[in-house]
Amino acid sequence: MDPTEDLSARVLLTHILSTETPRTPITRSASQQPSTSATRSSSRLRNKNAVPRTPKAILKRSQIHKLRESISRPSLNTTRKRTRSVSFRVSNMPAANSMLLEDGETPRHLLMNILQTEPVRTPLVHGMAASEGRQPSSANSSKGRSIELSGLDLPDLTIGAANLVVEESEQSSLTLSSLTLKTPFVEVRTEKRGLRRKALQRRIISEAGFDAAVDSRSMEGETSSGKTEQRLSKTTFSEGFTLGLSKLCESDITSDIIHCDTALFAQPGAMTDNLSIGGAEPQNGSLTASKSQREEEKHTGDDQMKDNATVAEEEAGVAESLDTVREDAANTEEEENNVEAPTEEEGEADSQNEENAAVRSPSEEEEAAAESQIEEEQDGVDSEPEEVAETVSEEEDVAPDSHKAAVDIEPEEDAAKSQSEEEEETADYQREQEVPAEEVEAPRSVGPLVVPVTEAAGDLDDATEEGWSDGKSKAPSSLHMGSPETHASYTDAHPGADKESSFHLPERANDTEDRLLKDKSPEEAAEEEEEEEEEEEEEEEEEEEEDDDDSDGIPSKTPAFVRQKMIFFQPKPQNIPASRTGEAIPVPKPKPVRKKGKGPAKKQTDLPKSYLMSVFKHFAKTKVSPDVYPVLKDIMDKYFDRLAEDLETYALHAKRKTIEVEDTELLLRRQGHVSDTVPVEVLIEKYLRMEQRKLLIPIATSGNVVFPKKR
Amino acid sequence: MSDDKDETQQRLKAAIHFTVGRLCQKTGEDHQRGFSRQAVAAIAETAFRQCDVFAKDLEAFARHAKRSTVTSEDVKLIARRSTALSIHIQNKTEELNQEKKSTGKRKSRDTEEESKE
Repeated sequence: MDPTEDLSARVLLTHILSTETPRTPITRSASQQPSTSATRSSSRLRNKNAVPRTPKAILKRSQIHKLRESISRPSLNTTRKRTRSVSFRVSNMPAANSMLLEDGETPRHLLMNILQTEPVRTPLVHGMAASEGRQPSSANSSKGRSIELSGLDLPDLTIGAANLVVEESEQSSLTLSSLTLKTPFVEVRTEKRGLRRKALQRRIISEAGFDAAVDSRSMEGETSSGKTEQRLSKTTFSEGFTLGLSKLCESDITSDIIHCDTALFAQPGAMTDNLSIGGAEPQNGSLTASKSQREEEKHTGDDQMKDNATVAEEEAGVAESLDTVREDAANTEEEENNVEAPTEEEGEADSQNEENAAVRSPSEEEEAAAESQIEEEQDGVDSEPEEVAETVSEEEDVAPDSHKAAVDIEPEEDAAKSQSEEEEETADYQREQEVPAEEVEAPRSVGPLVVPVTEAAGDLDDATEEGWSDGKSKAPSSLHMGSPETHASYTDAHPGADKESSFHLPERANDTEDRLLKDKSPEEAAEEEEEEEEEEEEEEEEEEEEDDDDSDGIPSKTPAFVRQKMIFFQPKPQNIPASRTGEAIPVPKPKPVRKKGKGPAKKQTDLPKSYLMSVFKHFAKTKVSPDVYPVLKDIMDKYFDRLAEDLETYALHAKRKTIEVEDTELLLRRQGHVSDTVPVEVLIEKYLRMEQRKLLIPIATSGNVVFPKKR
Repeated sequence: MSDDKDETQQRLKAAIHFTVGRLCQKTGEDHQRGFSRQAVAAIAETAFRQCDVFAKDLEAFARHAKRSTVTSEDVKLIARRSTALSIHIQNKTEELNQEKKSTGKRKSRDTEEESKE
């Protein structure tokens, strides 16, 4: 067809409509065109043509027909020729009929011809129509046919339209027809749109490409295009014929579907693990979880230990990290744990011993660990000291290699001592051994570390002593502490470590304490004996009270444990944005530090000055003179005293002797942080870490073992 | 309903204001001092709000003790901060117990009056 034909689609259509009586295409074609195509068109086609009234039906029929024809006619050239001939007929009714007859779709071909003859519309329209046609055609999976048909129509009729159509094959023909008919076109398009919503989007994107592809297709040749179409159709029914663009479009959609990531986020377990590793609190459930977690934490803890330096406050954390390192070895060497466990149960300082054992094993690895363990287990107190010496020597050897080792050595010595002591349950004897050991360690420590070491040693002594006195409570905890401690210490160290050396030394000393405390917190989930205390620990406000209670009168409650708790919470104040004056949350933090500084018998409240000042400055937003420290200290002491007193009163009010979580909640309510509109959970979620929150707020996660902490 | 609430509140405020005025008057006579209207009004408003706080706390305490009735124990818990008040309440409770006439209302009222004072 000549694109320059004057015949417009409208004119042609009108003519057809006026001249032709409304009949089924079959009848028309049959009557008007005795062409061979009519004969060729099987009854099937006629049947199809029988209902070509709606553009949709027409398109369908055309598509099917095209497929058939394409199959039957391999070369498009022939189709082109046919189209030409057909186009000639377009102007005439009979021509249209003949075309129809040939193709088997009278109205369709007529419409197609009209489209072809019509002036080229916007490529968009054509493209869209083409795409639209594509989908239905693809759906029909009559690609070959459509190709042919498009080839027939497009190249002959109009350049633009022809190109478009040719490539489109089925769709093109359909679209052409739809384009010519104003009303039907709209219908078709809408119908098609409904069918191929996705394709529409894609087409829009590839509009220009489509045209280009069409042109290229026509260049390449029908067969190839036909093949591609077939291929395409197979892959994406909607895309069908498209040129490479369709492939692209298709890939977008399919890739989107394929890559669709419905997961909200990594499993909660993974996140928690990360959190724990990232310095989560020891309460982190992973602590009580498998060893693998601990090992992971250990590794991270090791890294953290090296990276982070801690002030005296964070000694505990350092110790923990060290413990984590040791625990790694300990974990690998289950013997220690197993062996120690039974022994630990006997003694209180079990946790400490474990720590020591754990520490020793990693640092000294095979030798130390095995020896210490075996020796400890088998030998009595006498042997233990020897072992300690041995371990010490071993540690010393190892120490020079790494600072860690040095630190480990010291703590290991303590650990070894404590371990031996625990096993023997001869507190006095062990203490004596430990003390000298600590002293020995102290000189070895680096300069700045000396002070913290001595402190730690002192604390360790206290802890051990207290631990012995406590005994039972520690036993079970010690077992768990091995693993959780590493986490605990690890987490503690993480928040604030600044000086590795000092960190390590004090850490070691505090590790036992911290571990006790920290282990308790994670151990809560593990059903520690001291659950009550642990629960209280969770409630920061209760820390003080517990410390008081523990330190004051309950020998079973491990003061070391309390201290650990305090130490544990120390790093938190920085994380918790609560004002130091008002918030009860950061309150307990200073307490642990306070206890750490004193001996077992004294209950002074000497929080580290740096700690107090740093927290105060954090919330002051202005410069703070160091002169405020005495007043600040005094106020904080009063605040904590009142806090503990209130908690105790609340517990008594409920006719209980133990401070529970609800007591702390009542305190928060009294302080105004919690009200009828603001539940406690809001504060928990706002200030506490994920692990703590998970402990406090039982949540149900699929596939998770929930330990709803009784509240 | 809100109107009733407001109305009740207004009436309660008025009652408190009246009582506060009377108390101020009596106290002023003891010390040869007068109370300005604004002072009395301020005291009355403060008393009203403190009553609200007390009520909430008392309820919380009672619930904390797993009780559904506010008792003298709850009142004592609230007044423990103020030494004088707590002592006063303790004395009162002892008297009441001795007299075997314990009424929570009375103690609460005493508490309120004490707090007002």
